[in-house]
Order: sequence, then structure tokens, then C-alpha cells
Amino acid sequence: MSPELLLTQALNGLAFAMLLFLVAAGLTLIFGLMDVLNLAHGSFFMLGAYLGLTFVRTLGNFWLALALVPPLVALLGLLVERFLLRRLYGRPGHLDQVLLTLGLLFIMADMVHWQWGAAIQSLHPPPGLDGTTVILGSSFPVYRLFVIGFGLALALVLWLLLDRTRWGAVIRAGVHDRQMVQHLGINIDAVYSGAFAFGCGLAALSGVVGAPIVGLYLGLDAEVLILALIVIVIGGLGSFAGSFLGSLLVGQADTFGRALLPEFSMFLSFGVMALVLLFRPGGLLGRGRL
Amino acid sequence: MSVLLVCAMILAAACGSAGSGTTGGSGASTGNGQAGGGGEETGPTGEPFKVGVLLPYSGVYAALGESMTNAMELYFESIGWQAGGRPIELIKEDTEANPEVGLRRVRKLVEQDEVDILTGVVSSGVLMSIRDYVDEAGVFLISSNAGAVPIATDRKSPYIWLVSYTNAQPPSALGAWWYENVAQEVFLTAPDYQAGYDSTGAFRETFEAAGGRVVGELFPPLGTTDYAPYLTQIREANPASIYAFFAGSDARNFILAYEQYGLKGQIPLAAAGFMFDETTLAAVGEAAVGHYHSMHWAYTLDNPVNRQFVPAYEERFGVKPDLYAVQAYDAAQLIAHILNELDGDISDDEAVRQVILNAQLDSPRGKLRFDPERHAVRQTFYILRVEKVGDDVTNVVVDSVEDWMWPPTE
Repeated sequence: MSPELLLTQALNGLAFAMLLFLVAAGLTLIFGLMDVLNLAHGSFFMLGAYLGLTFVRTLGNFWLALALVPPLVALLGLLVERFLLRRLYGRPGHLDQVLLTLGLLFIMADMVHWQWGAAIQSLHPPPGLDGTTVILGSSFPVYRLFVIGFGLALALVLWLLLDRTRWGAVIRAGVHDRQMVQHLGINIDAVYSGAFAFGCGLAALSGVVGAPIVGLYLGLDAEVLILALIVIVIGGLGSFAGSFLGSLLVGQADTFGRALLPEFSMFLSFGVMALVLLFRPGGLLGRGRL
Repeated sequence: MSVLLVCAMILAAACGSAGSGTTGGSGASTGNGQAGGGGEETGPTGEPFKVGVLLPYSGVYAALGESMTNAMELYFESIGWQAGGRPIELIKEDTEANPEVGLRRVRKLVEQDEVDILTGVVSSGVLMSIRDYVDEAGVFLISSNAGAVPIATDRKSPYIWLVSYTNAQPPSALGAWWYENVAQEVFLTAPDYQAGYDSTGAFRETFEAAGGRVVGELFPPLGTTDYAPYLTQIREANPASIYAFFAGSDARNFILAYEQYGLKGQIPLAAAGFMFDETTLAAVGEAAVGHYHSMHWAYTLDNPVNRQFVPAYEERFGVKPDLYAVQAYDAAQLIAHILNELDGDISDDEAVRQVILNAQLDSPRGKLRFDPERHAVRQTFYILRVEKVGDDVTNVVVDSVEDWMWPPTE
């Protein structure tokens, strides 16, 4: 494998990793803080992508769509948390939440099918970012470089939010010890709602940004969900740095897997996860307990 | 916890693949011959003739399912939805281009709906999967697209007839021409399923026979949306030319990525027609300019049937017809022809076969006749190049190969 090929595939993998990170970050936040396994998380990604498509078509501007869609989906997430999920807090085990979010997955998938149809659609990158550039002698699409930059910038922003703001402190505390936070008199309900909405908004953001790369098709929700789950298991449930690390690993495994062993690419991602779990059952940066 | 997660993942994986097809997409469309005003004309008096239509209405080939259904309805409308004294009824089922789903749907059509004849089938994978069932059930299947080579050779059936093509015809017609006119080396790529292997294999046969050399091959999974990793690999091999077969959304994604990764204009691309059909050209525009392919129909073909078919289709549906529409139109024609020749009675299998073998169809492609050995039609293949003509991106005929059949018969 030549250095140019290695670099190009690594960049492809990095772009994909950034998309995964945005989805996984929301998923791990919701799980770590609220102990909720949101199986509809991939559906919020898909919804964001399709809404992005519609907004771009009607408004004619990609950036406007990028600005409007995530808050819209975050609002939907807020409503879901407030009126559906909240009823299930305090119930033992995770089965009820799994069933609820699974039901949501089915409903949202059908809604997308009903509204946008079954044909596979594509979204062109915005003008200005739809060209090709040359890196070390090989052509590479500009848009994927944008995705890499955007993802890294957002990762930085998220880290700053978590580390430097009061909100971030509350969330980190909540992830670490939920009951303690409640006993401190903080309005845990508001924190939960906000976190869930934020997570969904992140997933939708990833959907809009990712649509020009992954395409829009039914089944996108499940594919993204599976990869995001693998990412957070590898990274450690509840760990943001872990989801960043996990995304890098899975992004590369998936990209190189598809190039080198097309029939076994999904196997490679699961294989990495199995390997990690073998040595660190709680994930790379997890708390080390099952 | 991990156990729960693993269960969740398995659930999600199962739901993901089933979720897109739960609606099933079955529907029936019927038309009755409309008697003009006074009821003087006699309408069809026989039992409804049920045509089972197996097409993908979702997934990578959804656009094809739609254009093929349009064309069949266009034809049946033009004959008043009746032939051989019987009203014609279409019962549609969504195969999702998935072999397992296709098998379930064909069972439903034959056993539950009791259709009289079957047509459609886009995916060669589906055709291979239903071949045994259709053969045992003894129901005729007029394939209006899928042309898996085994169905024309060692897995032929007296009930399955390809009014479309065999997967080997388009690429083999191009192979020798490509060697003589463009490049002596080629890299092959196609989706990882029956049609992909058939297509690249047939191109390889005539290309190598002419003296060419295949330098590599790569088969991405069917339905891939992101061709970045694959094109990067192919670019690394730096071949003198590339032969590709992709259709539906795969074609669109591949062509766009081909341009984005700098291969357009650097490495000549050859394809078997389906990559540059009218529907795909509408989606990719100028990204396709300069590429070559072979197809058994061209939008600009100048014969009486095409001159009438194209404007009729455009007026009725508002978009250009594509190759798939033409094939479905011909399938509808053949079905009506069978009914007319046998006065609506298709119970005698041998009689039906004789009608098919003697049929000389007037297709927008020109005249078609079936090859008795292959159960597929012999036809002319055009070598086309995509060019920008004014504001329009369209196919221009560069050369042609007549009365072509592959695999060849004696």
C-alpha cells in the first residue's frame, strides 16, 4: 500500500469518524447521564439528514439548513423525553426504555418512508465545498476535509463546554453519580431534558453534515445506530473522550475494511469491539465495570 | 450491561433490514376498456387476466421499478387494458431487489393472488432465487430486466423468457470495440452479486479474446453509498481504463465519486449501458460527460415505434423514458400478443412457447425476436458516448453491433 493510498484512506476514515463521533457523543451522553439506551438515536440522525435535504431544496441554502435542522430535531427530542421517556424513569432494568425507543425507531422509519419515499436520494455538498483538491499528489474531495475540520472543531467545543462551564460540571457530576446531583438540589429533570434534546440535536447535526457523504436511504437509521453503539462500547459507556477514541477506531476500521475486504467490513468493526472488550470489558476509557 | 447492548445491536440490525420493507407495497391496478359514449362497443368479456408484477419499489433500484411500472401502464392504456377478450389486471409486489423477499412475494402472487403470468424482476439475484419456484409452479415469467446468464444457459427454464437481454450481451458487445478503440488494459468493478459477475465476466471474455489484459477487479457490496474507499483503491492500481457496471443509485454515487476523486478525464471509463441511462444522467449531469457505454436502445433512436413511444411517455409522466421503461413496455406488448394469439387462453404451455418463439416484436429498440436456444432476445447494441449537446447531457451513438447474442449460439 503506497503512502498516498494510506493517506487518502486514512482521511476517508477520519471524515467518517467525525460523523460517528457526533452521533456517539449524544448517545453516550444520554446513556451515561440518564442510563437510557436510546435505540432511536440513529433515527434522529436519519431525520436530520432527510430534513436537511428538504430544507436545502426549499431554502436553496445548505448553511441555513445546517443552522435550522438541529434545533428543530432537538425540540422533537425534548418532546419525546418530556412526554414519553420521563414516564419510565425509576422503573427497574432497561427493558421498558429499550421497547419504547425501539418503537420510536419503527415509527420514525415509517414516517421518513411515508414523507420522502423509498428511492435512495443524494444531497450535493454546498457550492464552494463541492470541488476537489490535491493532497500529496492525490485528489481528495474538499467536502470531506470540511467534515474533518468541522468535527474536530465541534469536538473541541464540546470538550470546552463539558470542562469549563457550569452546565458541563453538572453533567459530568450526573454521569458520575446521579443520586448525589439530585441530593444537591439541582433540577435533575431539566438537566435530563436538556441533555436528551442536546444529544438528539447533535445526531441531527451529524445527519445534515453527513448526508452528502453517506447518502439518504431507508435503513440508514439502523446502520448508524449499530456503528454508534459499537463506538460507545469500545470507548466506554458515558465517556466522551472514549467516544472520540472509539469513533476514530471504528471510522478507520470501517473504511479500511470496506476497501480491503468488502464483504467483511461490518465484521471488522465488530471484531475491533470484541478485541477491546476482551482486554477492557468496560471499554477503553470506561469505568471498568460491566 | 454489555449483554444488553449486544442484544440491542442484534435487534437494531434485524429491524434495520426489515424496517424498510414492512409496508410490502402491494397494490393492484386495473383498467377496464372504456366504451365510447353509447356502449356500442363490446368490452372484454372474459375472466380478468392477472399479471403478477415483481419489481423493486424501495432500495437501490426503486427508480427502475417506478419507470417500468409507468411503461407497462402506458402500453396497457393504449390498448384499453384488454387483450384476447380479457381485461388485464396488474398486481404489484415489492421485491426490494432482495432475493429472499422476492421469493416470498412471488409465492404470494402465485399461491394467494393466483396470477396467470409473471413479469418484472429487476435484480438478477432475485431472478436466480425464484427460478426454481417459477419453473416448478409452471407459471410463465417474462423478465423485463433481470438477465442472469445462467437463466439463458445451464439453468434455463421453459417458463422463463428474457425480453430484456442477457447480462452478458451489453458488455460483450463493447469488449472487442474497447480494445480496438480505447485501451489495451482494463480494471473491472461491479457490485458484489450475480449481475456484477455476469457483466464483468462477459466484458472480460470479448476483451481478452481481442488481445486485452485485465489488471485487477473489485466488487463493492450492492447498495454502497460511499465509493471513496473503493475508488481510492482503484486509483492506486492506476489502470489504463476501467470497466464498471452499476445501476440505480449505485450508478449515481459511483459516477459522482469518480469525478470527486479525480479519475474523470484521467482514466477512460467504459460501462454497460445501465450506468448512463436517462434517469441516471438526469441525476449526475455533466459528471458523466466523456464516458462510454453500450446499450440496446438510445433515446434518440429513429424508428417509428420509438418516435411514438418517447413523446407519449414524456407527456404522460413528465420525465424522459429510460431503457428499463422500454423493456417493460416490450414485456407488456409480448403479454398482450400472447393473449391475442391464443384468444385469452394460456392453459397450453407449448402453444404459449410457440407464440413467443414466433413473435416479432416492434419495440422502440427496433425489431426483436427470441433466440430459441437462449430464451432471450437477439438485438442491436449501440456504442454510446455521453456528451453535452447544447444544454442537455445525452447519449450519442458512436458505433453499433447488430443481431447480437452472448453467450453465443452456434
